[in-house]
Amino acid sequence: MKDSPTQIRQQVEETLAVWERIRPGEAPPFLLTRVEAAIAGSRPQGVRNWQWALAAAIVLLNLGLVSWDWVKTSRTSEQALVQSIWSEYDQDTGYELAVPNNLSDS
Amino acid sequence: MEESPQIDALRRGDTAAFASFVKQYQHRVFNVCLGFVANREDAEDLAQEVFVEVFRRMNQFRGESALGTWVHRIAVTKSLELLRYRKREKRQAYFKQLLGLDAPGVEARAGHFDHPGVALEDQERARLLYQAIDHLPENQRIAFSLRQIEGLSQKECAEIMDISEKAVESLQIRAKNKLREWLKTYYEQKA
Repeated sequence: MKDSPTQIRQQVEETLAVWERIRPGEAPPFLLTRVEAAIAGSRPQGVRNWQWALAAAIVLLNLGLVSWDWVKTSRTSEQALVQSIWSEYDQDTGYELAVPNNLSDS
Repeated sequence: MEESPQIDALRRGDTAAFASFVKQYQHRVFNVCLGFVANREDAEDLAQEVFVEVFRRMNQFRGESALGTWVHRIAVTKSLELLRYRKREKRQAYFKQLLGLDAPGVEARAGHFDHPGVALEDQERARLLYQAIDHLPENQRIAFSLRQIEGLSQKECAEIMDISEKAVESLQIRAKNKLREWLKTYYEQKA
């Protein structure tokens, strides 16, 4: 059997009246712990990024130092080699030859 | 301002002040979220997100409104974001079903009603009421939920929504009328 308009209206009002009976809920006691953990969990990410940046800078600096040292060493040994060749040549020929001071660009 | 020392401490990142702030607002925030999502677990997750957001954005709080109002706003925004996400998920699941692709679990997750403040005998009606509320436009939903579920005053609702008290009243009346209409159609079809 179909509900009458009055019955339907009554059902609607009864359903709407549920609002009045809904009690407020209680936040879980572990909420603060969860919030603190979430904040602490998100913090190291920034530190980690900062640490990565610092590590990358240190690696780059080391690479720069090593390559600069290598270039400097190779130039010095190149100069020493040329110097020894010049002196050998000097001894063989008996000519007095001046050893160039700067061989880097020649 | 009354809240000023608390706000200063929160801005400084004082953990003790933050802990007492969470304790002070946790039930209010949880209930705002619960009022929107009607699911205990979702409300817990949302409340957590709200406090994390407050902690991160404390420096952006300009003090133009009360701290409580600001926190309420964040709670409302976060709740609506979740509801929008769930609606999108439902739509996608529907289209996937149409295309014959499976979308397991989405329906169950999105429609799960679990409100700890509803008595057992009211569960069915409350579920139906939330179904009706789901069909309200967003601003009517906010006005109705804050006023009816939270029991906030017209003035508090107006401050949170940043509109006039009259506008809040009008939204509440329209929301109630829409809910009546929706429920009437539901019961007529059921009969």
